[in-house]
This record gives sequence, C-alpha cells and structure tokens, in this order.
Amino acid sequence: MVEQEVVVKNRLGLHTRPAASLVKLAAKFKSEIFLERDGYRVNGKSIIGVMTLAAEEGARILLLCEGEDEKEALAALADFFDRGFDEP
Amino acid sequence: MNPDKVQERKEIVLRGIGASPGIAIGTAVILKKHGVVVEEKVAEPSQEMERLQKSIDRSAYELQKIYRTAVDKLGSEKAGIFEAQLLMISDPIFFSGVKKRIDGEKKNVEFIVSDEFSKQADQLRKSDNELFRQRAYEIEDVKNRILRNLTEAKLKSKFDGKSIVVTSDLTPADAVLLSRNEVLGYTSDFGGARSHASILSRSLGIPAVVGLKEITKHIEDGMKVVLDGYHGVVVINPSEETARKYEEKKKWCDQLDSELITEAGQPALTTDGRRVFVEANLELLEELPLLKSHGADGIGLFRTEPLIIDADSIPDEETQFQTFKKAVVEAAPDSVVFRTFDIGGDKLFIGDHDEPNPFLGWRGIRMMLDRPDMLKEQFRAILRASAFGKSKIMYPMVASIEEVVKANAILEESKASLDSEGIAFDRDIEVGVMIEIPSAALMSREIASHVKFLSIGTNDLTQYLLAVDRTNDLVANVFDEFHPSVIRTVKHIIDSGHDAGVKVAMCGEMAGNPLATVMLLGLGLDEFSGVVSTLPVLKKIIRATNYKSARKFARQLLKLDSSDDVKKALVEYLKTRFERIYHTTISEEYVE
Repeated sequence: MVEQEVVVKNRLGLHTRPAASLVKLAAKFKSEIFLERDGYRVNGKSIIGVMTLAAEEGARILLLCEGEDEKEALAALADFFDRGFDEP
Repeated sequence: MNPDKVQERKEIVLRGIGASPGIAIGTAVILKKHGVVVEEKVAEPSQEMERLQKSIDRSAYELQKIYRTAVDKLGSEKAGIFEAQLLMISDPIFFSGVKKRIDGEKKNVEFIVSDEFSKQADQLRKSDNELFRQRAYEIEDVKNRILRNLTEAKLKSKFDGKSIVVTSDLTPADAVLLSRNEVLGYTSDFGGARSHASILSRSLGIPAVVGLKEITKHIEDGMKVVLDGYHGVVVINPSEETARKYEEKKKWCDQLDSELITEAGQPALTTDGRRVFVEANLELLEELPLLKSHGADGIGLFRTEPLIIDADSIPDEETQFQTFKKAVVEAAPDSVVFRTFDIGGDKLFIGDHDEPNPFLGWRGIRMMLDRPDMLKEQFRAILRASAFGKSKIMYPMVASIEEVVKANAILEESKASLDSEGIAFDRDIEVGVMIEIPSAALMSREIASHVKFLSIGTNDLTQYLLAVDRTNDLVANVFDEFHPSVIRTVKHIIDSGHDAGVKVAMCGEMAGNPLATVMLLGLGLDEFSGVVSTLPVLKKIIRATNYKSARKFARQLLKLDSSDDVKKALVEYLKTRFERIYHTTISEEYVE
C-alpha cells in the first residue's frame, strides 16, 4: 500500500469532467485505488464515488493505491492532480 | 378516471414564474420522477439481477439517443452532461455494490438502487459549493431513469399532440426529449426562469411556467390545463368561461405574434423620425437564428457566463473565440456587445468561498481584475472574433473610474499580445460600461469620457438603489424598477452620457418591458436591449409613437413621487394606445 497527499489545483475543482478523466486513468491500473477526504473514502474507479468527494480548488485528497502496480498508479494519479487535471 | 368527475372538479389557479412565453391549452400528462414511490420487498436475487441489467441497458440506450440529439441541437459542449450520465450508468464499482446488496439482502432492485443512489446524492448535497450540490440532480436523474425503466413504462406513448407536461422538476434531458414529442407546454413545481431547462424551453419555443411549488399535488393525468407563459399562470380544470377567455387570448396572441413578426424587419423609427435601436440580450447560441426574424439590430448584451456553466469550467480562449465568432458572423452587419464574465452575486461562484453579502461582494469586473489572466484570455477571444464581425466589449459591475482605467490597460496589453503574434482584430473596437451601481450612475459623465458607450442594467441598479435583495422572498415586493428614484437615475445616466457625447443603451429587464418603452424613448434612450421574443413588440410601439410627445410624457412622469402613480400612468397609456399588446404581454402584477 502506498499513499500520498495531493491538492486540487484547477479553478472549478474535481467536477464531472475531470472526475471522468480521473476514473478512466485509474481504470488502466490493476491496483485498487482509493481517494480519501477528511476521512470520507471513495473508490477511484467509480465516477459516482469520485464526484461525491465534492473536492473544490484547494481541497486536500489522500491517494491510496494497493496492488502489483501501485507505485505507477500513485505516480500517474498524483501527476494528474498536479497538472490541475489539464484544466485552467 | 371517470371523465364526468374531471368535469365536476373545481377550477384551481396557480401562480408561478413565466419561464417561456405563449399560451397552451391541453391535457395534463404527469411525468413522474421524484414521486416514484419505492417499496421495500423481498425478492429473488437472480430475477432482480436480470431486471437490473435490462433497465441499465435500456437507460444507456436512451441516454445515447438523448446525447446524440443534444449534440445536434445544442453542440457537444452542452451535451457533455449527458455523456457524464452515460459514464455513471456504467459505473462498475457502484453497480457491483448494488448487486452485492441484492444478493445479500434478497430485496427488490428498486429499493436497493434507490437507496444507493440517494446516499450518493445526499453526500453531494452536503457540499458548501453550489456547483457540486447541483451535481446531486444529475445523480437523481440517472436514478429516476433506471427506476422508470424498471417499471417498463413507455413514456412516449403518453403524448398525443395535446399534452401539457407536469413534473416536479424539469431536467435538460426532459426538455430535449419533449421537444421531439410535440408537447404543447410544460409546468413544474421547482425551477426558475434562469434554470437551464427554462432557457432551453425558450429557445425551443415551448411555453412554460415553472416554480409552481405544488402543482403535482393538485393535478391528475388527463385533467384539462391552461398554461399562460406570459404571466406565469396555470389553471387546472378551467371553467367554461376561463377556457373561453384563454382560447380567445391565444387567438389574439397568435394573430398579434404573426403581425408583429411580419413588421419586425422595419427600422425602429418614431413617427417624427427619431431612430433608435432595438437589440437582443442573448443567453444561448441557439437563439441566433431568431435575431433576423425578430428584427434585432444586433446583440446588445451577449452574456458570457453561460459558457462557464455549460463547460463546467472556465472555457479556454479558443472555445470562447469559436463561440463569439459564431455570434458576430450571425449578427453581421450589426454589432455584438460582449459583456465580460459577470460571475458572483446570484450567478455563480468560482471555487469555494462563502460571502455574507454576495451581491455586495466579489463579482463582475472586481473578480476579473483580481484574475487578470482570465480577463486577458477573454479579451483576446473577443478581439479575435472582432476580425469576423463588429464586436464591442462591456464591463459589468463597475463602481469607480479606476476599474475602467485598469480594465482598459489590460485590454491594451491583450491587443499588444495579439499584434506580436500577428493575429488580426478590430483596432477601433468600442468599449462600454454597464451602469448598475449607484456610484457609477452618479459618476456616469466622468466614466463616459473613458469609453464609447454606457448600458444601464436596471435589475442591479434597482436592487442597489432600493437596498433590496431581489432573490430574498421576504423583501421581493420592495423591489420595484418603476420607483421614481430609479427613473430619475436612468434620466441622469442618459443625460450624462449624451453630455459626454456617447450613446446610452439599456440591457436590464426594463428595456424589454413594453410598459416602459414610451417612457424610455422619451427619456432619450438610444438603444433598447431585451430578450429576443419581446423585440417585435418594442418596435411596434416605437414605430407608432411620436418622439416629441414621448418626451413630454416622460417629463410628466419624472414629476411623480410614487411608483404606483408611475405604473398607473404607464398602464393607462399602453391600454389606450396599444390595447392588444397590453392584453397579451403585460404581467398581471401591474394590473390591479
């Protein structure tokens, strides 16, 4: 199990479109992926779950990955957060 | 239901918000959504799994169809919300949770699906952020679609060309679907005039009354309904007399409409030769084809905020440019006034911030000056569009000259950056200021010396002059755009603008209100900008009015010291000179 704290950087937060991209990215990995905010945890491969995080700009999210490709998964997801989901 | 019983029932009059103009008389068809009562039952898991899969498949098929129609009719940006619903409906994690519960608890699929979706929607509703709370509706929409398909009720067969749809809340998906089913009109318990579905219904030309609070409680399938989208009135079980009254009114309206549309192409010229301009306030690109048919002299207010709402993010320069370009090309040879993002207040927030007084807070040009990168991006998009047709720029929520100077400086930077990249734009692009804050109204002469035009925003101006929050029900009756102070301020702004040698326009609700037309004309207003549907009416009134008499009438109105007297005089004027317009378009709040 690996984990890392990340921050939502884009202006409108983790709304529908970035949530969809995030889930698609997570689905590429075999590991189990979770996102946790203030103790509320959701499955990173569920768009409905990710949306319910209601993570706005500046929200801190804990990424947790567990499985054979956990390191790669964590790096890819953290990078996606870091890029502000490729949004303004 | 027994048809005799329907006849016996008492007439019920409900008042809501007229979201889309027109009169419809037809039969109620209730679109059940939130009202689906889900019972908890014991059920055989394997059978329930099969039912669930069938419903998911059917729902996905429907959504794909809606998505494709939406892409055609509305463009791929706006269709994005249906694409997201498609993703939800195939969320593997969520549905494996549902299946686990069906297997473990041996309960009916309706109960478990409903319970699981509601949990997620409730979670979203806890957010402090309006944008995220809105997402709860999308989840509810997906839930209701699955539940509806579980009962295998076929929606479409219920419509027969005489249907008026009654629902608790209309979603954009419903509006798109209904437009293909020859529905006469729709009404709902919730929603406002600015909700997405209301805007769509106006574009699609379907009369609508929303915000009726409890219409779904009063109505049953098959009841006769009259819907008056002009005045926001719905009559259930109309008496013969009421029905006749509305039939007649509908005939009038239809006839007047066709007359007005026929004459709409003629210039807004008074009988004694004063030429003014009648322009459109635009919310959606879908309204563009209506410009010419409704005689618009261009677009006097192009709201750019809907781009944010549609894209669910701040659209980049290229997206904005493509949208703006479509508008200027369609409006040519007339011009388009692009208002820079006016977010905040009741409109939309960026990120998570809570203000005790949003209307007095971080909004309009204040926000944009704090985010110069965003403003520059928008300026560049407008400037690029100006190479394809006449464009103008307008700053909202200006309180002081310094803001105009700062924004102008950023505009110059944007021009320089385009120059250095060799991108073409209109060097003489005109800049104007929206006058909607009392301080700006008082300083309008000085502000006018920094720009090429002023445009009066009466909604906010009224709100700030009278210190009344127009979204607060408790004081909504205090909000009064015919208050003498508002009219005198409008006069001051027009005179100041003219002193400084610039044109003065108005893009607030008042500009589109036929009751105010003669007064505004008499006060010297140069340009009227209102919703597209109202423009032919304004032109008709202007073309039949003598400017000199209007000036005299306006002078008399300026002497009045109460709003009631002003309204009485205006109602009387319209009633005696434009009786049909009076009867078909004037909201009943003025007719007491």
